[in-house]
Amino acid sequence: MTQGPVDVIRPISVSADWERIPQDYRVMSVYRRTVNLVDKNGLSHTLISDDEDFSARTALIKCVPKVNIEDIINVSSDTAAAVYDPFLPVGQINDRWMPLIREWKDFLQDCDLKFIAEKWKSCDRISLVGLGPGSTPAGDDFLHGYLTAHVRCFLEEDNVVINFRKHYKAGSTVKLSENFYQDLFARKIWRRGKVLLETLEGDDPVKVLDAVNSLILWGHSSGLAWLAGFASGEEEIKAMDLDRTSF
Amino acid sequence: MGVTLVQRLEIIKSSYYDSVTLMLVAKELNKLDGIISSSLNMGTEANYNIMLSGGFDLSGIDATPNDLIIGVIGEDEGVLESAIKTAHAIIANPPWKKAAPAGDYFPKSLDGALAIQKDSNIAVISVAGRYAGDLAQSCLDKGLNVMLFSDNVTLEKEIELKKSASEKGLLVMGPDCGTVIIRGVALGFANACPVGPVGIVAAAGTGLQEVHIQLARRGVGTMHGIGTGGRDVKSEVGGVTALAAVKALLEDDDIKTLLVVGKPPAREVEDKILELIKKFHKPAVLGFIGGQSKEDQPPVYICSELEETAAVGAALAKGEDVDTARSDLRAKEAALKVSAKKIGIRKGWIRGLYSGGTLCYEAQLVLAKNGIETWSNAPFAKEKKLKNSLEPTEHSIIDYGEDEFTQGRLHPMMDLTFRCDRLLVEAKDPEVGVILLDVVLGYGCNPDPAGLIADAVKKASAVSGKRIAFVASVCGVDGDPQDGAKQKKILEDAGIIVCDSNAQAANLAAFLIGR
Repeated sequence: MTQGPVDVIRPISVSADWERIPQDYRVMSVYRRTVNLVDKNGLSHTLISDDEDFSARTALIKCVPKVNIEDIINVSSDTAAAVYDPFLPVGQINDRWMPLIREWKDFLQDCDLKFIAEKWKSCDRISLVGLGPGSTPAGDDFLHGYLTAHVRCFLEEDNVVINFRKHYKAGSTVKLSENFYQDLFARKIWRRGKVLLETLEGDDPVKVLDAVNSLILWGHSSGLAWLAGFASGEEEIKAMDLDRTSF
Repeated sequence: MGVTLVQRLEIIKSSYYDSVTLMLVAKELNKLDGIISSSLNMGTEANYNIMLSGGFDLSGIDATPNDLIIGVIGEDEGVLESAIKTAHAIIANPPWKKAAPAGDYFPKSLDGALAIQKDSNIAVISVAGRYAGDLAQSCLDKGLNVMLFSDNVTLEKEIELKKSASEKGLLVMGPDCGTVIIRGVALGFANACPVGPVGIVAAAGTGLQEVHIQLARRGVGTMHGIGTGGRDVKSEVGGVTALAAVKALLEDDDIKTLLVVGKPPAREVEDKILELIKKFHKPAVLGFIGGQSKEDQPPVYICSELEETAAVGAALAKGEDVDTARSDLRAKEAALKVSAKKIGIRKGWIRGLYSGGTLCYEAQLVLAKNGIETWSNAPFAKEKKLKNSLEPTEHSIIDYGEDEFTQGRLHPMMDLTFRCDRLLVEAKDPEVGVILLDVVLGYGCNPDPAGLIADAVKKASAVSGKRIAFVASVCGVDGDPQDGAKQKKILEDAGIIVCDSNAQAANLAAFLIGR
């Protein structure tokens, strides 16, 4: 649902890192449920109409406004409550879920994702950046899940993350994915992933399945790729095989 | 001027595909313009025979049971080429598998499932027979009872599994165990019957289903139905599961009446079961069709047919007179004789086309009781085994659910295509006077078996005229997904005589040829 042209957008609620001072943003892309924006410093922000889509620098609005790419809009969030903290705390997965997590790697058998499995096996891992279809390429979704597993476990960066950042070339993928990587290295993550991680620390199977289902519903195959990547990362961490992993 | 048909065969080496996939691909190919017939089968001997009977020329073909044979018959080479390409495309990426709704995720592995549901105590296994045994062992090792739905598991593996289960205090129900009922909850093929005080131990199966529905029709519910697998009560296996299940149900205070059902066990196994039952003084019925035990030893009653077992069991459960239950059945049988005369006595052979193994076996025994010797692919007397199951002779009762017909193919209770094809073949035989059928309903079964059989019977009647009487029984209840009453009406509207039980149907078939 869209609404008519507006001068100022006033979100219902925001993520904890949303800039409170009213300011102008440029519209970069418009989707059914989201509007992607950049501020004057080139930092991405997102307006969302479904609170499942909360992430870093996101603001929840009632409905998607009628805006066009390159429009300049003003967002004023001074009265909006901060309802989502994108910060990713250090945590440990309940071992109970490891057999379940392992089977998520099989999502790569999905026809659309087979290329990831091939690249991953060949150890040409950095070439997954920007690879595949989608507004966030599936290769990025996979790597994001994989790196999330690593980032989450350690207060200090581990070899995997260091290696990835060393080999990663800015501009080698779409802006949206690039933001995901940057946010992740700042220990920020979107809600669906964070909820899953929280449920995996607990002991409630219904909550775990709900969280997995919520992720699967993300994008055409983004959620599947992310889960497969996360499973690969978790398995690696459990095996303490970090030193042999490189990009 | 007739069209000359051409065929194309292609073999995909060392590839396993499940029978549901193969059936669905064949259905898709059959929809293509210019395709007369298609068949996708693993290259077993039985499937060779099935394809030969379907009109395929298999000369020069070299396929093993591990290879897939794609066969198409059509109007020209172009059509065949296109069909083979379509088959490859569908197999590589089956649309029905992609159709699984997103956001409906459930674990795909045993360990994943146990992570989610860690208190599970039973696993249902339905994979190709060659993998089923090892998977069953993994389940046992994780402390799970096993319902082994898969068939084509070797006898050696069955013995090994049951030994392992016995050591762990677990049950292996199967292999080839189609039905299990736990606390009224159906696993596999089962009917929507009430929960009540009866416990059943059966090969499982249609024997279990028939007794389950006959009890329900008499207002009696079932708490547990434990399947053992048909070979369990043979000497080689020694009734390991049957004895453990009988003991468990005898010790269960919720079970007020125990029924033990199936084809005849090895003598020593039957004796052990009877001995065990007698120790507990719980009302029980030993319903082995053609079993050795003959005399009632109250509170243990001996029955030789499935409906009788249920009738006696229901009487015991309701505190009614067992003799009255039996005399009611005899009265029904007498009424069938009168009906047969009204319907019209037929000349020729009886051909039974069955999907249920125990029902097939019972039909042979009922016919034998009426002085009719039968041939079968699953005979009760070894010397009456058909040399070729696709070439029945004289009076023949065929079980299309036997392993020979289900290797890489869907069970006939789900896919009636082959049985319906055979019905047409039998109807063309001028020496056939009666065709006898079972129509099995319930969860897991074809959604409209009566509709498919009715269509086949209409086509058959167009060929045979009134020469053949079609007799069937519906193994189902009104609450089943297919609706028993509705299914019965569909059959009757197609001119099929529908009896209340398999035993009655077999009796009527005998009476219809003047016995």
